[in-house]
Parts: sequence; C-alpha cells; structure tokens
Amino acid sequence: IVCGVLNIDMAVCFCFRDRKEWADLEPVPQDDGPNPVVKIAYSEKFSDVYDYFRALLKKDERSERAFALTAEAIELNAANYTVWHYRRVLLQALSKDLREEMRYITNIIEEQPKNYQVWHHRRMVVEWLGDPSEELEFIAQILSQDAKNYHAWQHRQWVIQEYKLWDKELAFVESLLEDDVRNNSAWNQRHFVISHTTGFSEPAVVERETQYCLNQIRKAPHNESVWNYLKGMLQDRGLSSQPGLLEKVLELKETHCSPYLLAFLFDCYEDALENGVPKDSLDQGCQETLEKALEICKLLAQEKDTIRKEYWQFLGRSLQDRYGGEVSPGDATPTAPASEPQQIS
Amino acid sequence: MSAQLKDVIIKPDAPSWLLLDKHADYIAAYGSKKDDYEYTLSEYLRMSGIYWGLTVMDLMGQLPRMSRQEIIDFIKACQHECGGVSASIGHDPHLLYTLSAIQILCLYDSLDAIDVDKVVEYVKGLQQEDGSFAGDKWGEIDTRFSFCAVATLALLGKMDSINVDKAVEFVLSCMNFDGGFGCRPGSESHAGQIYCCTGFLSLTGQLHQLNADLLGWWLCERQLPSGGLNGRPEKLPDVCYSWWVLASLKIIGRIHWIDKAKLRRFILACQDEETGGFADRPGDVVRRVLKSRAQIFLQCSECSGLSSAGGSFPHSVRDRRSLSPRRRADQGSKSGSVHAGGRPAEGPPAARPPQLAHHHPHKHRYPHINSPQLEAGSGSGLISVSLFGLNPSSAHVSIQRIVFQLLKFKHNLKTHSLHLNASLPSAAAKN
Repeated sequence: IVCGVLNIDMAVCFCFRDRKEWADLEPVPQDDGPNPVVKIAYSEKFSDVYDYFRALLKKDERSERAFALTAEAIELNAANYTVWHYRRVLLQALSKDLREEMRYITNIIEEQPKNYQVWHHRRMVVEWLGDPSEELEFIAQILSQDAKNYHAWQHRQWVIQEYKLWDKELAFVESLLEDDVRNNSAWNQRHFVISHTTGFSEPAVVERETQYCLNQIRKAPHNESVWNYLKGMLQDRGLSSQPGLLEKVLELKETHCSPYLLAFLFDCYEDALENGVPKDSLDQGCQETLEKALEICKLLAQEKDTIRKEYWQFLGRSLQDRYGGEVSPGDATPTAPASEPQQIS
Repeated sequence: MSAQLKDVIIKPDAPSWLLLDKHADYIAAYGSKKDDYEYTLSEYLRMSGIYWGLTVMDLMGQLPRMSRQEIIDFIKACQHECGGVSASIGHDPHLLYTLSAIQILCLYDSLDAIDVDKVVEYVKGLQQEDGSFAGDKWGEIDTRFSFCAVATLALLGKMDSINVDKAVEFVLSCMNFDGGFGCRPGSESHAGQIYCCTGFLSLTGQLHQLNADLLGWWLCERQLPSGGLNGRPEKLPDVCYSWWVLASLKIIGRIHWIDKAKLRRFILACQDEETGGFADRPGDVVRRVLKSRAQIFLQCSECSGLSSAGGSFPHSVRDRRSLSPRRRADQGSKSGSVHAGGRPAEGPPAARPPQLAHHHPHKHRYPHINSPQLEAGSGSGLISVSLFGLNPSSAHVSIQRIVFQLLKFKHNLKTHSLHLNASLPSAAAKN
C-alpha cells in the first residue's frame, strides 16, 4: 500500500477537485500548525481526498457525498480514527443501511485485520443492529488466516459474552487446538469459556481438563501454553491436590521432558512443602522434596534453560530460605542477589 | 507435531555493533516523496510521534535543538472544547494523544499552555462505572486507556479526580491465570497490555497487588534462544516487544531475569546493514522506520546502560512534577531475605491468581512486601502508551531531523559499549 500510491498514473486520477459535483467545496489543505515544523509534499491522491475530507469536517456536512468520501479516505488510511468517527456520525445522521455497512466492514477487515479502528467500528454496527448472528463465523474465518489475531479474539470474547453465545465455543477452541496445539490465544479462550460456564470448581471438570492437558503434552511436549493453563487451573487449590498428577508428570519427565515440565514439577514440590505434609504419592519426606526441587532449579539454570538462569537461581534460593537450612554441597552457583543490581548493568 | 520453537536465526554475519553511519544515511534519505507519504499516513498519531522524537532527543541531551514554541503552539491548536487533545489539527480528541500532549508539555515545563483543568475533566469523563476507561466518546475500553488516564493525571497531580479504587479494581480484573494482563477481562495476556497495567499499578501505588514472581517469570519467558523477545507464547520475536517486556520487568524489579547480552545482540542484529534502519526482527525488511527507532534507542540505552537506573523519563521532569513512580521492592539478597527463617509478615501463605480474574486481588508467591516504596523507580512507566497499539508505518518527520542530529553526535553515544566481542558464539548454533 505504501509504495503503490506513488505509481498512480495521475492522468487517470479522477480527483475530487476535478469533479463537478464537488465544485462547491473549498478544499482544506493540511494544517500542521501556525508554524509548521516541516514542510512536506504529499502524494497527490492522498492530499486530494484528505483536503476534501477536511473541508467536509469543517462544515460538519452530513451528506451522501461525505459518506462516500469517508470510504475513499479509509481506503487510503484505515488507521485514521477521525475518519471512522465521522463515518459513524454519518451512518446515524443519514440512517444508512447497517446491513450494507456490515458488508463493507467485513471487506475492510478482511483486507486489514490488524487494525483497532476497523474492529471497533464493526462492534458499533453490531451493537446498533443488535444482531450478532454473523459474528462467530466471520471471526472464525479471520482466525483461519491468522489464528492468533489479537483483535479478532477480543471481538469474539465481546460477542460471546454480550450475546451469551457460549454453547459451541469449547468445541471451536478444540478444533483450533487440533490445528495448532501451541496456539496460546486458543488456550486463553479455553480458560475464558470454562470459567464463564461450568467454572473450575467441579472435580469432574478439573479431571477432564487435566486429562486433556496431559494428552496435549504427550503430543507436543515443548508447549508453554498447555503448562500455563494446567498450572493456572490448579494453582488455587494447590498443585499437589490433584491425585495422581505428580506421578504422571514424573512419568512424562522420562519421555516428554521440557523446561516447562520441570518448572511444573518444581511448583508441585513447592506446593507440597507449603501445605505441610507431602501427599502419599510423593512418598518422601520434606527434606527430600526440598532437595528434589533444588535439583530442578540447578538443572534448569545450568543446562535446560540457561537463558533464564537468574530466575531459576532465584527460585532455588527462595525455596531454600523458606524451607531449608543448609546450602546443599552441590550448589556452587554464585550468590547473585535476587534484587536488581543497583548499579547500571 | 514438531518440537521446533518459533524463533529466528541470527546469522553469524549479522551486525553486532550500532551502525550509526548507516542509520544516518537512512535518515538522510528520509526526505524523499515516499517518506513524505508515510508521514501523511501517520498524521493520526502525530502527537505521539512528536513525543517519541522529543524523548529520544532528551535522552541524548539534545532537546534544545527542537522547535519548542512551534510544538507548543501545535498542541494548543489540538486541544478541543471538551478538554481532550487530538493527534493533529482537525482530528478528534483521544486519551492516547491527550497523554502525549501532556507529556510533551511536561518535558517543556509548559503545562500552562493549555487548559489543564479541562484535560482533567476530559479524562474523568471517560471513566466508566466499572472503573475502566474509554479511549474517547466512542467507548472502546482497554487497559491501555486506564494507563493513559492515570499517567496523565499523575503528571498533572490530579489523580484524585477519578475513582482510583474502581480504576484499580478494573485493571486487576484483567489479570489472567498466568499472571499477565490483557486489554479487557478475559483477554489474552500480552506484553504490551502488561506494560500498561504494571505502569498503571505503579502509578496508583498498587504494585503489591501483582504476583511479581509469576508475572516476572511470564515476562522472562518471552526471551527466545535468539535473544529476542516475543509478546506472547509461541510468537516470533519482535524488537518492539523488547521495550514492553523490559519496561515491565523494570517496574516489577525483575529485569535481571532477562539475558541482556543476548537481547542486545538480537537488537543489533535487527539493523539493516545496507539501507540502515531497524527491522522488527533480523532478516526482515525494514519497516516501521522511526517509531521503532525511538524504541530502539530507548532499548539500546537500557541495554548499554546509557539511561539512568531510573528509566527513560527525565529526572528533571519527575522532580518538577513531584512524581515518585514505584517499582516493586526486590526480593533482597541471599543474606537479607525478608523471610529468612520466618513467617510472612502478614496474611496467609501466597495465594495464586484466581480462576476468575475479576474476583479478588492476588497475593504474593513469596509474601514479603507490604510497602513497595523505593527510591525513585522506573520512569519507564511514564513513556507514552501510544508507543503501543498503533500501527504507524513511520513517524513524524521531526524525528527524522532529531535522529539525524543525534546521529551526528555519535561520540556521545559510547558506541564502544555496544560493540560485542567478536568471539561470541552465534545464537544460530543453538537453532
């Protein structure tokens, strides 16, 4: 889009200033202030359209030609929020066909799906119509081009919550996770749907979700999202409260290990220490639990996730401070402070 | 399913020091027609563009070179009857550009140039019943705007004009199960939104409501083997996220959890050796020229220690506005651990983020800090949120001039500190 406009053959540019039906308007050139900081040369088409846009704004003209011009202005720069404002004012003032506007905004979003203005505009139109019936399918289509489009997901959450369209969403999320089990947006949506429907208090739900996570981990072990989700779901009640989970994680450690698994294991041990008595499945005393947890920190800091060694060392130290006594002999890590160094690094 | 992590490869011959001459050339060429067009495209964020440029200049001690009065006059012309400020003349007012305008006027110690009481009224009028803030009269709600609102009011010393408790409640309701924040309750955690929310909590004195260890971990997880940072899990690194993530970590006192040397290497590798300028990641075409540039210099400052430990907002402004932005109190050294041998100072053991984020505030993973008061902390929380969330293809031409000027003074930039040891193994080996 940036380079294309400069190649426009000006001979065929049917500029507004050449159109008879616009002759009554005095175009308003760009005003950079009483003392413009820089003088600029604009591309002709752009300045033509925007000069006339400014003229209309100045008059606050509410007309069909103004409405038509907003489309041209948007095509040149869909990020210009003032143009969108004006278009909405006109939509209402002229009682325009909102269904047609839906078609319009659908096209624009398809061309430029990563723009705040276009999605906000769509939301306004949906609200005015009071009709969300096209939304889920439309958003699904946009997500099929980019499954992590942040704007699309915002809009989807709004539609679902506003119009209570929860029914099929979990199934939708699962289909996306089938396509890409590492889609963090989809995992977030999963949490969103469940927390607003069944909630996470029911043991049956937690069991089902835990199983689901473990299955996904087996398919793709190196996946931050699934581990975040699992931890996020369980952390309130305590990670070690889920019967049999630690065993399964220890099993997975042998065949499907990852830094995330190790971090989760650490969290389990920490939770066990925090809640006093280790559960049966741990089959070890507090000291052993602590040692295992510290081993994990060392493994991560020194080998499995060295880029975050500061963090892993901090975790180990903190745990030791809380539950331990002695420094374990194997711990030869330098005692860098957990606090940020005061001097400039 | 592939075990391949989404990342980029930094080639062994990627740039490893700051190519100031190339950037100078790139900017010198910026006056072409093509770039004028890009300039016009970015008119809708002009106010923020000016702010970024001035910030960079000020960081470099070159603010006096800018056209102060012209800019102030421009701002005056952009304040509307409702008190809000627009991005440019003839545009509609918006919270984003109101903040940028106030920030510029603070830099210039010229708040009396506009009607600040009206600004306060405008900001106050945008607060919703649930404590959130709309960006403008059209009602888009986003935690970015919560940040804009409190940043504006903090600079004006008028925080009490809004319902701060409600505002805090809303932001906390956007805290997710992973400790991060999105734009609205339930929205996916995103580095840019996290920056806005941590900045917000810093400005409202509510950093203790964060689970700093959990959030700090989420943030440092953004770092990929290449050294670059992404904005959320399983996304490619992008140089702009370095800023959002680093600034957030700074605010919560966990910036040392990022491998700085690797990040620096990544940023420098984003340079285009032929044309100059920075791409969003190594190997990409240079786009988003000068918006990124402002960020890059801020990042480079951070990485090379050019900026003060207090962050990127000038001390002089902080002092003038009587600001004491807060950072999370840090864990303390091994010997000085707050909970060595002891119980938490108060409250039950650390709770975790709730399932439904809009319920109760979080407790600490390691309860320790009750009063996060520190020496003047990160001013980076005050850097305009306008840096985030906009998709400018470029920025104000003034930035072009700014940067060109600043590049001429490269002897002040301590480039030697950015020149990496040639024997550093390439990150490519790991990939």
